[in-house]
Amino acid sequence: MPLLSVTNLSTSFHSRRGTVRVVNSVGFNIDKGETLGIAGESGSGKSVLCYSLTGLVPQPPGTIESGEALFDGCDLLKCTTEKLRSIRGNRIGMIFQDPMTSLNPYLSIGSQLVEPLTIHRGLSKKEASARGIDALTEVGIQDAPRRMRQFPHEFSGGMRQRVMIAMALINNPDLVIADEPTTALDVTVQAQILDLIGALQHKHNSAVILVTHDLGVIAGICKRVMIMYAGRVLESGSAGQVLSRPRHPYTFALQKSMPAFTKRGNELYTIPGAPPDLSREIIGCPFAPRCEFKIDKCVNGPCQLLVHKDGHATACVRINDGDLLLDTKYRAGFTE
Amino acid sequence: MLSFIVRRVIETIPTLFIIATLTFFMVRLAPGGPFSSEKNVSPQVLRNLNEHYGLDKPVLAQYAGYLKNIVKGDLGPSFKYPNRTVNELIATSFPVSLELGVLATALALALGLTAGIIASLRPNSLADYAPMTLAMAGICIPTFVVGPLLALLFGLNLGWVNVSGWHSFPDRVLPAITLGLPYAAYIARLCRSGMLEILPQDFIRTARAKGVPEWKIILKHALKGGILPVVSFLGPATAGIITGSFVVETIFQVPGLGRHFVNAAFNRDYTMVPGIALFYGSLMIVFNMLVDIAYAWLNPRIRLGE
Repeated sequence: MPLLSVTNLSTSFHSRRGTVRVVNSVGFNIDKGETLGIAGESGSGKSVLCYSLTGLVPQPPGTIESGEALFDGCDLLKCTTEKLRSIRGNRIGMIFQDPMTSLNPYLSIGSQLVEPLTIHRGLSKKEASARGIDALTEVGIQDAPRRMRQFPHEFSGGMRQRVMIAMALINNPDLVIADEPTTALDVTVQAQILDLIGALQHKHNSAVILVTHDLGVIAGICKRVMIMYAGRVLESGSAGQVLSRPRHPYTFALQKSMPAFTKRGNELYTIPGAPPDLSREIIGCPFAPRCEFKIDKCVNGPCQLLVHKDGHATACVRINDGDLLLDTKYRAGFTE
Repeated sequence: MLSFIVRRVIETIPTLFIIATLTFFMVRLAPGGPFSSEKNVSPQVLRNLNEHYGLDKPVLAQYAGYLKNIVKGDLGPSFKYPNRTVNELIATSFPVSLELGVLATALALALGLTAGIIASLRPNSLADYAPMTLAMAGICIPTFVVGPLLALLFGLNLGWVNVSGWHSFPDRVLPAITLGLPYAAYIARLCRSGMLEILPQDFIRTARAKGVPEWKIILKHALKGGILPVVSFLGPATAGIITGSFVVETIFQVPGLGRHFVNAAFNRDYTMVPGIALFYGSLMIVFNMLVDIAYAWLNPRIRLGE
C-alpha cells in the first residue's frame, strides 16, 4: 500500500474574474522512502497541489473541488482540521521556497524550530531545546546552542533553509513536501541543500515530494517524476523513462530549454507563447497552442493521461494513438 | 540596553531645558499676572507680593534663580495656592491622574486588542465591520459627549454608580471608560491593520504547516509583529491619556492633575505652568523610552542604540 495515494484532486480559486482551476484531476502514489519529483513551469499548479494536500490552501478564495488523498488510511482532503493539524509538522513536514520569508522574523530560531516537538510530542522546553540543538547540528549549523537564541535575520539564506529543513524533519515525518526548496538560493548553495535533503531522507527513511522547475534537480535525486502543466499531469513515470525517453512534447520542450541540451554558442531554446488562462475551460490538450507537433485532434479531441504497459504515462493524444514518436533523433538534431 | 537608557536620559536634559525656558518666558509674556484677578489689591500689598515671590527682580535674574531651583528638583512655590509648592500640588494630584490613566489604558488595550484581532481574522465580514464601525464612532464622538451620556445612563437612570467624585472603586469606572474609549478605538484600528499585514505572510503559513493550533498562530506568531503599530502609538497615547484627562476630570469631578494644568495657565501661575510642563515632558520622554524598549524587544531586527 502506498504511503500517500492521491486521486482526481482538483483545486479552484474563485475570484471576480471567474473560477480558476489551478489543479485539475491530479492523481499519484508515493511509497515509503520514495522520492517523487513534480516539475513544471511557474503557474502549473505544483505548489497549490502541495498546499491542497496539507490543508494550507486559504479557503476562501480556494476550494478543493474533488479528490481523495489517502495518507495512512486517512483522507487528508476530508478529515477534520484538528486531525489534519495533528498530521502537519508531525507526520508530514514541509519545506518552503523562500527561506527569507518563511521563518518568523519576530521569534528566535530555537523557539520556532522546536515547536513541532512541543506541540505534537508534548516535550518539555528543556528536552525540546536539546533535540533542537541536535537537529541544527545535523543540518550542518555550527555552534548550535548559540544559534538557537538568534533570530532569522542573523542567518544567511542557505542557513535559513537548513533551519527550515531541520524544522520540517524534527519529528521524523513519513513524508516531506519540499516546495522548490532551492529556487531562492544561490547556485552554489542549491547543491548543498539538495544533498542535505537526500542525506536526511535516507537517514530517516522519509518519502519526499520535491517540487521544482529544474529538471536537472529531478534527474539528480528523484526516482519518479510527474510533469505538470496548467494544473494537469501531462506525463509521469520513472525518472529514467521521463527524462531520457520523454513521451510528451512538453517534457521534450522543457528539456530543450535547458542550457545543458543546447550546443555551445547556439541560442537557448524557449517554448513559444505563455501558459493558458485557467479561468477558461480548456478543450483538448492544454499545451496544444504552444506545441510544435500539434494537429487538429490535439486542439479539439479529448485529452487524458494514459498509463502505458511500462508504467510510463502520458497525456499526449498523438503519442497515445501511436502517430508520434519523440525519438532521441529529434533531440540529437538539437544537441549535435 | 543600559547604555541606551543612560544616553536617552542624558538626551533628555536639553529637551527639558528648552521646555523650562519656553514655558518660563511664555507665561510671563502673556498679558496680566498671577495677582491681576485678585480684587482690591492695594499697591502696597501688590509690591509685597511681588517682593515675596521675587517678581521685583529682573526677569533674567528670576530665570537664573528658577533654573537653579529646578536642578535641585524644586519647582517653586505656587502663586495661586498660598503656602503650597508646585511639588506638593503635583504629588497630591498626580497619583489620582495616574490611577485614572492606568485604568483607562488597561481598558483601552483589552478592548482595542480584542476588537482588532477579531476584526482582522475575518476581514470585510460582519465580524470586521461591526467593531470597526464602533471604533470609528469611538474616535469621532468627543469625550465631553460620551462622559455626560454615561453619567446620565449609569449614574442617574440606572443608579449603579455615582455621577461624580473619587472616593470608592465604582467612582473610577465611568471616568476610566470615558477616557479609555477613544484610545480603545484607535488601538482596535491599528491592531487590525497590523494583524492584516502579518497574517498573509509566508511565516504564518509555515506555522500552519508545523501544525501550530490556530489560537497560538494568532497570539504567538502573528501578534508579536501585528501589535507593533499599537506599541508605537502607545507612547504618545499613554502620555496623552494621563495629561489629556482634563475634560474627563472636570466632568466627573476627579481631583487630578489635568485640572491644575489648565487652571495654572488661566491663573498665570508663573511656577505652576513651567512646573507641570516639565513634569509632563519628563513623563512623555519616559513613556517614549519604554515604547522604544518594548519595540526592540518585539522586533529583534531593531537594535537599541545603534
